[in-house]
Amino acid sequence: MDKIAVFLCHCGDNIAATVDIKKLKEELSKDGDLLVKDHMFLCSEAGQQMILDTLDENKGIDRVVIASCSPKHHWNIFKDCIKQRLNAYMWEMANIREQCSWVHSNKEEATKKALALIRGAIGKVKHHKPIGTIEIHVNRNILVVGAGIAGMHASLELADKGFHVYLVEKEASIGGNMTRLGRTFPTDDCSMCTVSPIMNKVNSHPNIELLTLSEVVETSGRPGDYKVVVEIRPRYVNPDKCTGCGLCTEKCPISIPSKYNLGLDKTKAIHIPFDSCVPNIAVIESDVCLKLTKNRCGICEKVCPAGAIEYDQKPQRRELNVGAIIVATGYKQMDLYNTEYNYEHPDVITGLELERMIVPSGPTGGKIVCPSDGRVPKTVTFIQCAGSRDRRYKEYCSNICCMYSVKNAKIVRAKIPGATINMCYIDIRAPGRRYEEYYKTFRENDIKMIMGRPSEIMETPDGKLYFDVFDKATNKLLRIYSDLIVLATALEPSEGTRKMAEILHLQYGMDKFLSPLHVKIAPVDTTTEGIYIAGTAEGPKSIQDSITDAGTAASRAATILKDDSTTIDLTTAVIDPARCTKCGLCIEACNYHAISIEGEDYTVIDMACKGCGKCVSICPEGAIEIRHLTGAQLRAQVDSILESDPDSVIAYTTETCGYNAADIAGTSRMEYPPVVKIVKLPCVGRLSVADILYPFEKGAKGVMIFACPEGLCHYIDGTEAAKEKYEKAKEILKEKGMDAERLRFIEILTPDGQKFQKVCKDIAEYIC
Amino acid sequence: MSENSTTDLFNMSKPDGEKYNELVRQLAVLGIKNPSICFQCAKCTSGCEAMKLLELQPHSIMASAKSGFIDEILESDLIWACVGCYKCKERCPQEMSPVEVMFVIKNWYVSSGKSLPGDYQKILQGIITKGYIQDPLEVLDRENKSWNRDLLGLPQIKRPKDMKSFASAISQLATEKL
Amino acid sequence: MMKKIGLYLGCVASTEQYGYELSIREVMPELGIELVDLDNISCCGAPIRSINLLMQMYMSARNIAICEERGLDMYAPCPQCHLSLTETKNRLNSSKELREKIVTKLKELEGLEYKGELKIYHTVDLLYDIVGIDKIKEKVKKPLKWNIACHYGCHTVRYSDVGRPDRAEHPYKMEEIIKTLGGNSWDYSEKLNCCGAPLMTTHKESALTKTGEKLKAVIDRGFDGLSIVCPYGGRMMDSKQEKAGNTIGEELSLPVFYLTQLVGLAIGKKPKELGLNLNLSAVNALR
Repeated sequence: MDKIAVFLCHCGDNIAATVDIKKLKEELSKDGDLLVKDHMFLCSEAGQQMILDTLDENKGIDRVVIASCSPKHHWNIFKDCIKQRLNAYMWEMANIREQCSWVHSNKEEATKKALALIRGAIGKVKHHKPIGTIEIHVNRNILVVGAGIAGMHASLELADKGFHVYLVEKEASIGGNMTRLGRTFPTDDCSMCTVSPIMNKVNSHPNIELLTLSEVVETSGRPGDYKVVVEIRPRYVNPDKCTGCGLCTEKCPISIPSKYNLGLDKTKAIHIPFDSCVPNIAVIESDVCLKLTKNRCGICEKVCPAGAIEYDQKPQRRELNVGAIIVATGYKQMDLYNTEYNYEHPDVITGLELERMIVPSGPTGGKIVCPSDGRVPKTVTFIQCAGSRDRRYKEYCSNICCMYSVKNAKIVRAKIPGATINMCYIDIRAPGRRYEEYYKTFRENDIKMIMGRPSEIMETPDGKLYFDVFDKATNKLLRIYSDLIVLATALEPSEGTRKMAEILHLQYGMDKFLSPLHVKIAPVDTTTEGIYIAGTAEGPKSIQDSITDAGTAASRAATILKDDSTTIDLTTAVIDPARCTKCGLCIEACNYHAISIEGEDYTVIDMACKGCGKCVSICPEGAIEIRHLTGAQLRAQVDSILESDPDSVIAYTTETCGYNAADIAGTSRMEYPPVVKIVKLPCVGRLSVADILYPFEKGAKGVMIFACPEGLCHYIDGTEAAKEKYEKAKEILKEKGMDAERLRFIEILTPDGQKFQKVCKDIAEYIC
Repeated sequence: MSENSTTDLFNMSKPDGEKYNELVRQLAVLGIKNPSICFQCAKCTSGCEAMKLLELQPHSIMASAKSGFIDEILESDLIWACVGCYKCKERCPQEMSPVEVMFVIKNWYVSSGKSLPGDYQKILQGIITKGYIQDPLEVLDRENKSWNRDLLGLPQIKRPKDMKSFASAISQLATEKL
Repeated sequence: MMKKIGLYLGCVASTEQYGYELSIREVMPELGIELVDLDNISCCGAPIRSINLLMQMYMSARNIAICEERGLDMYAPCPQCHLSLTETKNRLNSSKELREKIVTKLKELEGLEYKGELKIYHTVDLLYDIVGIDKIKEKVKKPLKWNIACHYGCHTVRYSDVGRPDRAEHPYKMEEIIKTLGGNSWDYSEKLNCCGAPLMTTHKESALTKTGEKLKAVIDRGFDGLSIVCPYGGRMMDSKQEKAGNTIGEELSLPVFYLTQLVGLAIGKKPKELGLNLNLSAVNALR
């Protein structure tokens, strides 16, 4: 091993303001084996050029340490830079921004910690060996889950590029929530007119295989090679025979509230989902159909002129093989029962219910009426932010309500010229292109804008709705009797979105919407390679933004599947046949079936291996290592940190949830004591009992293990595996008469910067 | 706080940065969030039980507090109109608590030595000397017959065993800051 | 098996609204609750929040300490007391600063040990969650048969952050109890309107106006009677019902009961045993 180049980034003053770069340089330069340089913005072109120049001018350098922001941002940029001169893995990063300069305001302490982290990285990199690559085959089919506007658009983009797309939709028809809308802002075009052609295109595209009444129930595999099990519910109608004539619906004796029309009218047990639905085929609701539940009736079969009814259809399972998955499962409106909004009253309705009334082919024939008695309202009131921006319900703003309420108020004004129309609001948010102008045209109408929110919706003894609201503009407390009240109800993730998060182990926020890898620069990627998100599954947004997401997700999927094979790095496990006693514990432990027996030897299947390291923690002979984090590297990193700063708590952290939470504490500038030094692992499953106790042997003041919550581990059960080891380690500490409280196991989610801050403060307080 | 750079032209008053900081600090001790988070939706005022009869506007109190115009609130009669129903705190979408901001400011009013409004003096006296807001009363029933605890067979009420220590503790707290 | 619990009545029930206390002492033992009287207690401090919050917290804390020293949970039939006690307990558990201030004084000046670990109940959750609907149903001998409006009062349901006996929007436990007693009850818009009681300290006329308006709303809804769970609320809506009517210029007549009085009637107790003669509203109009 020759010299090591250490590059320190100022990151403007993001790092340099609290970490003394000059001091770091001085201290590190005392070691003759290090060549230390610094730069204002290492990630810039100039910065990278400096790295390349340094490597060119000093041929004795064979490995690099970069001390800068979180690897999450520029790891790939630095990797691509360094690999132009060295092996792509002969380097290490130290996070001295999110996990140092942004969370410690005392310059001395921050610098001391940065030094320890950098020395830790140096210690580790000394044990790095070059890691090569391997070429693997990918399946070029793509799965899109959810056939709303985002899912359909993504499917068409990919299908046009020549990919075979499976489009899986839970309902009997595709189209999603957009089919329910009247008009869309800011153009006021008819929603169905916009979305209908898209639905038809999807249905007739040769490259799109449409699976309706279908849900994803299981997935397995790896990026480029996913196996997805889809459960297909029976329609009980033969799609090749049904002509969509609707006679069955007419004659069916069972009436049920129409889910599509949000309970505003009724439909039958057998029905065509809605006007212009795709496919235009009837479907039977099995749990209310007399024939299917009690073997009576059977009228639809008798009257169907095409003989399309098939009561004996059974649920099916299909296994799909795809290379990438796009999740576009959309939103729903939150449930406002048992709140101060009196949603129980039939004339208090949500925004979507009003849309159904506006649509000419809807349950009221395009008329605005009071659902309680069908009369035309004389006063209509829109109440904004019902459930949104409210810490009791949803903290977030639902993005589109200001605009759609403004749109609908205009429409109601046109439909009922003599009505009094009120809108109670906090702000009117009109941030998009042409939105403010649209809002202005709205204000040209006679609509009473009330700058205030009612506290609750009441009703008189004879059922008339009213409420009191303070109007800040006129300084008046107004009592308003309103025939119809429209609540701009908060949007929340649909059931499908929540389910897909579980099944695909996707990260989601405190608001339960799916989390993108990076909100600004990777808005459709997820932390899982090959799985992308689009549309309102990611958060409330307009149709335009959903389409943008969908196009981006399609592009991303197309990128990883552009050829039949892809090349991967060998950041996988490797078995030393000399030490392997063939006990088989690793095969049992591996969730990815990545270890197999070839002849006499146990070997790792690189394309299945995720590099999580669970096998390493299980092997009693130390015969397995993961190339990107060997035991020697791990111990060297811990040694170097503790040598540099003995007053340390070693925090073994998963590189997903735990590390992200620490980064989020950083971006939010949540301060905590600098004793905590993070040592990043692919998964806490990598830790053996010996690994957990090692820092104590070397004088650490404490050890923390930050794991993804049970059930959300990206490697399925790494958390459980680590917990077992943790319990054992705790017992050993107790037996030795050591303070077991210094060893802590914390399950933490990515967005929980606050929890990260708290537990660090707790342990620091404890050890002091 | 922009104390010196801002003036209210109607009464030539300026925001008081010190009082604002002290208010925020005392609220934090009680676990109450900083009033600056209030985004003025006026939901509290819309539902305020004291608004219709007594014109109390909790959102306006919050706005004045946020901007540092705290003396106005201290000197206003309106804060004593608050019923303490907690509807504002319960329904506020931003976790604000106008009712408790008013409690703190009323406390400041009292500790500045001014006389207590309404029956508060009587109530405080009762507590310090008897342990309760009042002694058990003689009451009349529907037939105008007179009753008291003894006649009803109810046990005597229990008071602090050592009234002196109790009163001393209470009085000491009168001078302590949150 | 009787559950022993420390009875903390608070000022209004102990010094004026004796009927409610009578009904509680009569009814609770029948439902398996053994009431233990506490020594050394005082006002909970709620009436003087506006004067000094530290005093209020001290007073609530001392009563908690007294009950804890007996090894009992607490039952406060007055929601104002219940809120003050619960809030103080929560605050002293989350702020070391406050806790030290108050707990040291309790120890030094009054020799009281404060731990803040006991549970604090009110009539609504003691009946619904601890005694339970089934047990109450067992005991019903004379079903009520009337339409009773429920008034929870502000402090029984707010503020929900510290945990209240019932939820803040559309509370339901009292209605369920009334139905179990054989009566009929339903949700009404003005259910959460304040009765005005705390305003009596500084704005008597406005307080009585609020009382009057609340009573009028209940009457206009067609109820036969009103069930309350706050002695202070009862003081306004029952004892001062006539005054309230005069203030708003209406003749108001509505029977107003404290919940345990209704429970008592349904399980077969006599009106006098439940102190119903002390209710000034027309409670005898309902048979």
